[in-house]
This record gives sequence, C-alpha cells and structure tokens, in this order.
Amino acid sequence: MAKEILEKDVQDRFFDILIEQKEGFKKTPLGVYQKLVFFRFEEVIKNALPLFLEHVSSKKLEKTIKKFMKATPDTPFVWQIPNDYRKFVKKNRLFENKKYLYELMYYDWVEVELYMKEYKLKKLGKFKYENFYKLSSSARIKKFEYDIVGNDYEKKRENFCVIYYDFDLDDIIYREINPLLFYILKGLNKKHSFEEVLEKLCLENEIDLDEAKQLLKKPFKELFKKRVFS
Amino acid sequence: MIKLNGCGLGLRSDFLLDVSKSSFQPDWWEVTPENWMHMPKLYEKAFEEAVFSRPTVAHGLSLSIGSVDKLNRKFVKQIKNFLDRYEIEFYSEHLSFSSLEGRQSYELLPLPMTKKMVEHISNRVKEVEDIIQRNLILENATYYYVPYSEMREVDFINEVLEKSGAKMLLDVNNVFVNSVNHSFKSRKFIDEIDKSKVAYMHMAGHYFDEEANMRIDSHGMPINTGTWRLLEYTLKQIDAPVMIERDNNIPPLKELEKEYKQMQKIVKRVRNG
Repeated sequence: MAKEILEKDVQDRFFDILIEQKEGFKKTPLGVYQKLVFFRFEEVIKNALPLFLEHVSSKKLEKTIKKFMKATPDTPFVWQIPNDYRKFVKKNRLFENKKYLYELMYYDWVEVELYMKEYKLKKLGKFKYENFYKLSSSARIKKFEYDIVGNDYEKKRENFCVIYYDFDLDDIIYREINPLLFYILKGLNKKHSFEEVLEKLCLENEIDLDEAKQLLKKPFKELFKKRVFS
Repeated sequence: MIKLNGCGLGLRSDFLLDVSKSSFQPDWWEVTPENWMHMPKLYEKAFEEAVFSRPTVAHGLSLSIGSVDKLNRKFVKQIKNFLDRYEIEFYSEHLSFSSLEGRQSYELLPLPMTKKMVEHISNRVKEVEDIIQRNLILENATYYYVPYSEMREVDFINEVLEKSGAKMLLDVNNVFVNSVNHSFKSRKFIDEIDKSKVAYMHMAGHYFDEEANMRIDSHGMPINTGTWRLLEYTLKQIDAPVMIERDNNIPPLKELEKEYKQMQKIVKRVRNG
C-alpha cells in the first residue's frame, strides 16, 4: 500500500502509542485506547486463568500484561490470548521466583483449549493390542514438576497426568497416571502397534510384557473408551 | 435491502443455554463469528437450534477493514466457512482498524478520514466480498481520538458507502457517544447519513469515564434515555430493523427481554405513526 503513506504513518504511530506504550499510559483520549486495550487483555486472561490469578498480585499481573501487550499476539481470536500470554511469560521468565505458576497456567489453559476444540466423533471399536493408535486431539499428557493435581501447588513433586475431554460428562478430566502409562501414551504413533510401543518400553525398563499387559489392560481399555487415544 | 423484520438481539454464550427454555425469542439474532467459530461442544446444539430457528446476521470484530496491511485472506475464508455452515446471508463489520503488520490490538481503532482511506477501504471491501460471496455491511464505530481527517465523519462514511457499494449498519449508540465526545449534533448526523444504505441498526449502552471526561461505548450498561430518544428520531427517517447489542456485564435473558420489549414498543409506536 505504498500510496497510503500518510495513512500508514498515522496507523503506525497509533500502534506505537497503544501497543508499544512508547509514551506511557496517558491521561488523554489516546489514553482511553491504551486502557481499553489493556482491559481487553486483562479480562480475557483473568477469565481463562483463574487458578494462576489466585497466586499473582494484581500489580504483578498488570506489569506482565503491559509487557505482553508489546509482543502483541497475532491471532484474530480473543479467547486465544491467554495461551500467548502463558507462553510469553514463560519464555521471558517473568515468574522465576514462583516457577509453579507456569504449570498452573498450563493447567488452567488446557481446560479452555480442550473445551473450545471441535471434535468429530468416530464410532468406537474395541481396544486391541495389535491396533495402531495415537493420542487423540481431545487429550493431552503432561509431566508436572509441582503438585498441581494435588492442589499443593508450591510443593515440588514430579507427577504424570492425562487431561482429556470426557464426552459422556461434557467436562475436562485431569487424571494422575503412573509413569509407564504416561510414556505409553506419549509413545503412541500410527507406525507402531500398541503392543510394539508397550514392548519397547517394557524392554527399556526391564518389565515383563505379559505382566504389564495384564496389569494395565483395565486402564488401557478405560482410556480408550474415553477416547484418550484412538 | 436486508430481509429482516422486527427487532433483533445479540446472541451471547452467557444466556445461550437459556434460550430454548425461554418463552421469549427475538425476531432475529446477531452472532459474532469470532466468538462462535470455536465453541464448547456443550454449546453446539443450542447454538445451531438458535440460529436455524430465527433469521441470523453475523457481526464480526477482527476484519480490520481499514488497516493498510494486506488483507488476512485466511481469516476471511474462515469467516466465509462460518457463514456457509450456518447459512447466514449477512455479514457486518466495523469501519475501523484493529490490526497492523500482524499485530492485533483487539480494539476498534479510528481511521484517518481521508480520500485515500476511502479508496483503500473500497478496494478492501471488494476483496472481502469476492471471498465471502456476499455483500459487506459496515458499521459506524465510536472513536475517542481523531488521528487525522480531511472531512467530517458523516461525509467519510457516505463516501465509503458510495464508493464501495457496501451497506451500512447504523449504530445509534455510537452516533450518540461520538456526538457528545466530539461536540456535534447527533440528529444532524442522522439527517445527513445516506439512509438508502442502512441495512440494520444497533442499540447499546455506554458509560461516562470521569478521568477521560468522555462517554465510553462499553456495551455493558442498559441503554440510556438519550440514546432511546435518538432511536425514535432515527426510526422516523429510516425504515430498517434494529437490535440490542450487549457484550459486557450481560444480564439474564429475562432482563434483556425487558429492554428488548422497550425497543419493540418504540419501533411499533413510530411505525404506526
């Protein structure tokens, strides 16, 4: 748009003031826009990250949002802003004295993300070891360093979790799982059968394959029924 | 002319699940595509029931029609898919810009009101219409600051409508707010706007910000007396459907129904002379 030089200059300058806050938060009509943009970010972040919000002061939140505004997200969808904010504060290490907050934000965000996805449900067959599966788009696996699932957020405790959309309950389920189950779900792919993935993990960890199959068949079937993998 | 009759209401997730249980149904709905393109599974059925049971108009937020950027064609195609999926014929957007070089402000920012901007928007309207295969409807936005202008707002809007062929979504509350903030007569604005282009109208609430000494278009308050009066004046000149747009502090559907009925009463009174 080379011919709209004046128009481009005007729009650039507007963005500089609003987003990059080159002239601070002004008590002028331009300041109204600065405030409106800030409140838009703040509102959507507060709504999407309620647990995180309980552990951060409003002053610190404001400071980090203002920093984040300078790195403006590019998604046209407002509801996705909290995810960009989450990634931004982690990348820029803005909560290094409370590292559990990064995990708490993930815990908050994944609920929004799984809720907002569109799912096309296929007819559910039967779980079979010889079939090829992968983790569903309605599920996430996460290794937490802090006791997020146990609500003891500040305490360090390595734990493994599967988070999924429960289509029967229309709700997001956070379920702590054992490390073996976690690494099986993580290793699932369409090139190797479920049994091959399990066998490899059993070999690596000196676990008897038949014993593992017997012990884990119930949770495998249950997670399959819940469409955690398909 | 848009094929809508009577009064409309903005459909919001806050009361979506109450719609089917309620005896109240507006004559038509307006939906914001960006808020419904991704939605909780729980809402899908209720949303489909609502939009397929009543005429529905789409009112977007992120098109950024006035931005000097290249048009985000991927986003416009997503809009088209949404309109096709829910069989929505009408799509309106704001005469403003909200993004620049991939950066999003998520706010409706004022445009430089220049001849070049008129030309730029007209070209973009055509580009959008080519993709969505529908006419675009443009809304007069609120502004708290005028970045640069060669003409009055009403002339700018009329020129954009004339050159682009777009229809107009006349936001009566925005006219009211702008008139107070920028010291012009709201009725004169209504007198001068190209009435043949108005496809439908918005009513909404606003508040007074003491620090800025300005009225702020929040869509989060009940409609005030001054705006109701301006609607009555407008309806005497413009025969177009009108609706309530509430985006913040959304009350229960029952409460919105009261405001809707107040609007309906005014419309009937004016239309029946």
